[in-house]
Amino acid sequence: MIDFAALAQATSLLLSDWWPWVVVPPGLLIGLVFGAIPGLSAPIAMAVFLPLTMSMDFLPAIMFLTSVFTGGGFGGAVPAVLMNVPGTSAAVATTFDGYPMARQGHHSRALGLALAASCFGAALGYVLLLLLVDPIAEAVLLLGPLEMFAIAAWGLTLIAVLNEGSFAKGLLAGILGVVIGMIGMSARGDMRGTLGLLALLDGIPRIPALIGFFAASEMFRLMRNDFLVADAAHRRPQFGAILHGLREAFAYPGTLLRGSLIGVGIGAIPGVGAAVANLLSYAETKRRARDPARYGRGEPRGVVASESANSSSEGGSMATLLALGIPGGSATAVMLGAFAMHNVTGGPRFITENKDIVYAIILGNLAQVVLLLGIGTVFLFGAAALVRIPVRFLVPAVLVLALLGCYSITGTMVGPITMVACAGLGYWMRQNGYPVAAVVIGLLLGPAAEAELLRSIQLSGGDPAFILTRPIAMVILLLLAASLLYPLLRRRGARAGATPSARRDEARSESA
Amino acid sequence: MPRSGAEAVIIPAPPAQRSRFVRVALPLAIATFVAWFAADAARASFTLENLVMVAPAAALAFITCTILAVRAWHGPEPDAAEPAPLGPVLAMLALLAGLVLLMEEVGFDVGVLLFLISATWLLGERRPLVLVGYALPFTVFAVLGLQAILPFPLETLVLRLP
Repeated sequence: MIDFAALAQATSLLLSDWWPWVVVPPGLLIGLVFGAIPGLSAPIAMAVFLPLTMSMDFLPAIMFLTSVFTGGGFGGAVPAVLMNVPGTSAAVATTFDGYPMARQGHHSRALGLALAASCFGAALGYVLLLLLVDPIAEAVLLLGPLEMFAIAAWGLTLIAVLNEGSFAKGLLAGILGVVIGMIGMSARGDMRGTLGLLALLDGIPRIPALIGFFAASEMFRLMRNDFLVADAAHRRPQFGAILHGLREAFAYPGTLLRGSLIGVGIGAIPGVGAAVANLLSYAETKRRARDPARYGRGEPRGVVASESANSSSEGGSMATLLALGIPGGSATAVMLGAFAMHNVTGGPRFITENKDIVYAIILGNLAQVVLLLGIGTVFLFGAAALVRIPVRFLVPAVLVLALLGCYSITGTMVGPITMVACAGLGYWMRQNGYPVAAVVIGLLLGPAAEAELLRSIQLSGGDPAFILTRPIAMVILLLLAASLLYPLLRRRGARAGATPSARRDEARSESA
Repeated sequence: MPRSGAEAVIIPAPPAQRSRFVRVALPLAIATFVAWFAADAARASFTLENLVMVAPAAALAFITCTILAVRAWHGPEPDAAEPAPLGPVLAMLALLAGLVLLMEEVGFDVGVLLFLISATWLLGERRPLVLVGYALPFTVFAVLGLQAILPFPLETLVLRLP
């Protein structure tokens, strides 16, 4: 498990030089700012600042980049809570309860909850990485396309959990997202729905679409208000409420732990990562809740579930990077670039020969999480003041930043055009009671599910018995079925256990 | 304090309802889009591999669209938002579309400045000094900031990083 001699060397490596510590606070701040601006993200920040690391030694360079990664991982929660705009795709589920909390005037508390859950999740992710870096990497190698399909399918079931209103509307919105996501060249090389446009070969750009559906359409709805928070007394940023939120997150240890473990597991799978982890964690938390109706209306556990998962996935993605040399997502891909710049190749040999450096990176990241708690709290106090800006200034500013962010992602006008089109469609859907979150989930997970299913069919030659040779996929699918059936069984059990008078009362309240 | 009789009998006007054509428009539009996509995908390649997700998604979409359209035709939907004036939203959408269309022609800096001034005016700010005093520094900050970050050029008329 742990090589204690290497751990001692790692500690002395970190304590003997002040450089790794000097670069961490600015890295965290850069990550927070880039994560908080819709369209920008930690990978963009890491790519922008990658050349700076040329002049650094390997350890400070990686510490700087991971601090940007850590800060950016949390930064996306800030606009998600304050404006219903997920700063990154990893913060989609944070909007579900964070934004309703903000509209009720609990924005400072929601931000505190998000920060504490993020720090806990990231810390647990790195502790697990420290203990299990080798087994995690070996387990990842056992996953094939069928297992990846099962995970994506699990995420897609969130569509059923999400909608409080009509189930049919949620389902249709989710299918619409899946279909929009399938536009472009398929994994098999077929062109679908491209209208012959070269710009659509890679499909509809997902982040601009996500920003359009969530952010811009929400801005259109906000136009009717004077301020984000109606009650003037609640608009003041409250340091006490942020601290209250920080403490409150630990009142939900089960949610924190479940979210963090889901995040580590999903984050370790290359190509899946935080965007799926937050949705899956939210879905599972809501499914298991005694009072699922509270979710989507400002339930603190919803914020905790999402943020603990998206931050802990960072530890999982670092496991595959360090142990296998495989980047799990764009942020770790940039980090792999930094490895290459310093003539370092990740993988089993790197871990065996440089265990002290691997441990130093992990310990450094744990220390970053503690620093994030302090720097993040101050950052949140400033960010919470956003609700004091009148809507007539806020809406145009957010729309411009989102539009420029979309341009920066695609490098062409395809990004801004996608954003505007999805904004109009998103507003139309919201006005008719269709959940735009379901569209986004379909958009993010549908194409991934299709590609993995296609690979499974190609591998198996179309033989359904193939699944019997994949025990991990069977376990995941069984867990998925159990998690879908669990709320139904519990409801039935509660009804069977209820007294006849209570059942009559329940029936009366349902008919009312 | 007891209310007078005149105050007590005030009944709020019922909320305006959308017409049935407006209510069914969205499910029909989605069904049309999904049908077009499924036909295009089938034209590209009529194989199991190509249609493994497309066909079930299209079938499910048609079933749910039919249910929703029939339901919407017969009565108002309880989960729909209150009808709001569409004018300001359409105007803002038009401004955004205008910005996207003109950004590369007039430059990002000029486009963003004009959008910020007109959008803020649309949302009720009428003081010229405030409009310019808000839009100008924000444009400079956003455009120069983006120029510094992006690895590719940003078309601008005036603002350029040295």
